Amino acid sequence: MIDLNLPYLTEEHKSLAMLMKEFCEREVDLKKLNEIADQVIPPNATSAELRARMPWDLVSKAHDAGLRQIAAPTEFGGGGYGEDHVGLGVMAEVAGYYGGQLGRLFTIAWKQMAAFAYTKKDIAEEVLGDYMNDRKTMLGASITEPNSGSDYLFPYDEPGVTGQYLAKKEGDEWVFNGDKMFCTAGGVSNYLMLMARTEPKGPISKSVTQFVIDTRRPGWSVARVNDMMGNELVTNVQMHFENYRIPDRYREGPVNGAFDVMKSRLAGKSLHMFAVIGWAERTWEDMKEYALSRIQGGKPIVQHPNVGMLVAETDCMIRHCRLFLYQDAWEWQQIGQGQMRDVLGWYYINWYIKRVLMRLIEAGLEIYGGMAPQKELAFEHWVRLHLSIMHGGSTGGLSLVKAANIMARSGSPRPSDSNALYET
Amino acid sequence: MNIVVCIKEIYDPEATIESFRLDGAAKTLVSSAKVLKVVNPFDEQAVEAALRIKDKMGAKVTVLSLGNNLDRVVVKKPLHMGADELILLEDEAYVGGDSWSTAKALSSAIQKIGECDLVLCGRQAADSNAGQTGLGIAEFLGLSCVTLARKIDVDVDRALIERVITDGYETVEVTLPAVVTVSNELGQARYPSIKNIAKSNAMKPVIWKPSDIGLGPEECGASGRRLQAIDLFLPVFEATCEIVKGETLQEAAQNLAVRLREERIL
Repeated sequence: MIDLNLPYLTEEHKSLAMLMKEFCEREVDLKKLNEIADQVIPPNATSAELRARMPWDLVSKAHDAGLRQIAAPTEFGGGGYGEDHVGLGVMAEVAGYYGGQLGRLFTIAWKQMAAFAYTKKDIAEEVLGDYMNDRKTMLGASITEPNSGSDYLFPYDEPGVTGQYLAKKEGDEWVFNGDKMFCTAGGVSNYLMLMARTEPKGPISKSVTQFVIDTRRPGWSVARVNDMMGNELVTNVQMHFENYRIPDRYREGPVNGAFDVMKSRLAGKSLHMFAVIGWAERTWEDMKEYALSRIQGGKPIVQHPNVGMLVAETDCMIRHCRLFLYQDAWEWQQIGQGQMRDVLGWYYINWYIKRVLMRLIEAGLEIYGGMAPQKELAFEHWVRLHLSIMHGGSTGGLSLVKAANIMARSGSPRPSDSNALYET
Repeated sequence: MNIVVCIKEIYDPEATIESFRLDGAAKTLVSSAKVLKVVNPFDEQAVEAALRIKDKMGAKVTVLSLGNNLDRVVVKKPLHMGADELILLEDEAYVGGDSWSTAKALSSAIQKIGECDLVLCGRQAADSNAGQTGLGIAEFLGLSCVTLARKIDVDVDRALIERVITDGYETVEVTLPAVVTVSNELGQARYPSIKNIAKSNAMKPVIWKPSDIGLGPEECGASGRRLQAIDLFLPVFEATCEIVKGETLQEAAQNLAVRLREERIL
């Protein structure tokens, strides 16, 4: 059960959380979602085949309830909560707790909304118009490439080293050739917020531009499916561009200024983590129930010190991680888009949530014992979901290295200069 | 058309049983701090019934609730669904009431509201399950009461109501004003709208103390009760197991039949 008695949450936030809870309790059939997740995905599946796996009836109901559009600006008919990171956070947490993978269906689109502040009005109208009017329009984002993963997220910044020269300007058009690697929802999205190197020789932090990509234009295709655990609903793909052309007006922000746009979406990235903390709370409750009901040696195993300690330890870690997330979301809200009160917060969370999830999995293996790998337990699906977040947003270790570098350079235990995010 | 809907704040019926502790001395249930409160689901259907009438012919829907320290997230939900006004009977004096004192306070408030064509309540509260309050309000106000409605069609000064009976439903006509209790067969209540959540965020409900509705504190809540709880306890289920044996399966079966006859089960 999600505890809504937190000082970060206003009456309005709690009402939104209760709406999400009601929606999930009424509409979400976890068994059905898990059945979709268990279907084999061929590595050469097309975009149409991936879209056919989507639970469109559920997406459509979420649209009718206004939940899908809640982060979109009010001028486009959305809920206008795009900058309310605490509000979106608690909704993501509730969606994760009650709806499992449903949480990600929401957060993938919600986190893109912040980028529209950098988008030209006619493009925002086109994309959001489609999104608001068509229940099957999906949004996604793409950063990594076959030969550039963590160095894109953690720029080493040596000139010309990271990233392929993907987009070249020809007249008023940008022409794309090459591949993008791990793109969650890429195969099912109509529009992608995509970062591409547009200056071949410069350091990556000053050589990348963000674009809105319409996947229905010629020259875009799914190269292969990355069949990832816990990501089976929206799926993850490698994409191929071959002479893909879009007009310059589809550019978001200045040429070679993508990292400024990306900063605005970092708070959005933590929305995935809110959903995962919801999943983690549900996992922990299942584990606790098992420890209370499983009798060994004449008493429930929760009374065995080795098990009771694990139940308490993981409860403590989840609670702490949750407060950390809310504190960070609240801080994002205080200053405004793309700014941070505590630059280190993002990196610490990215590391810490992975520690918490790994410890939760470890505890589950101990508590369930021989039952742990049994597919009949919900634990097996929870583990998949947890693993799906553990790969995202660079590895936990790199996050700490980056945080330590920033701390050493600034000399402050809580550096607040947002530009430090992408300096090396 | 003016409609008043009475709602009750209760603990989430979906909460696990471990979330509650029974306090036998105080004859009450104590919840853990994490347990959410919600609008009684039957009352939500009463709100839905009112909003369907509003959608069809236009109406002002006023929501009335009673208690102390009522959770604004809960009691504002009907506003999020589309109701127009919220009046709270909110005071320490209202705490601990029974169906009698609750109905008395609510009916006094409805009299104060004045113009009212239709009072809607849920068929019962999902915590106490008494199902008395709606009937009590009708009695205090001297109005007709139709219970267990699954459909309400209003036509100027009368309403045609389909009410649930054991093997189906019957249709009755009632002259307005009247009190109607709504059953779950009405169908699912609508979701709160996000627009209304944002709109009602700053809205302050009207608060009435006992003196505002012409009642003394002794007539409200626990002081005004007519029903006294004698005891509150968890039932104890005990079972003993006896293995009936025999040299053969046939003999064991015969012995079992004899034992069942001895216990007067057969």
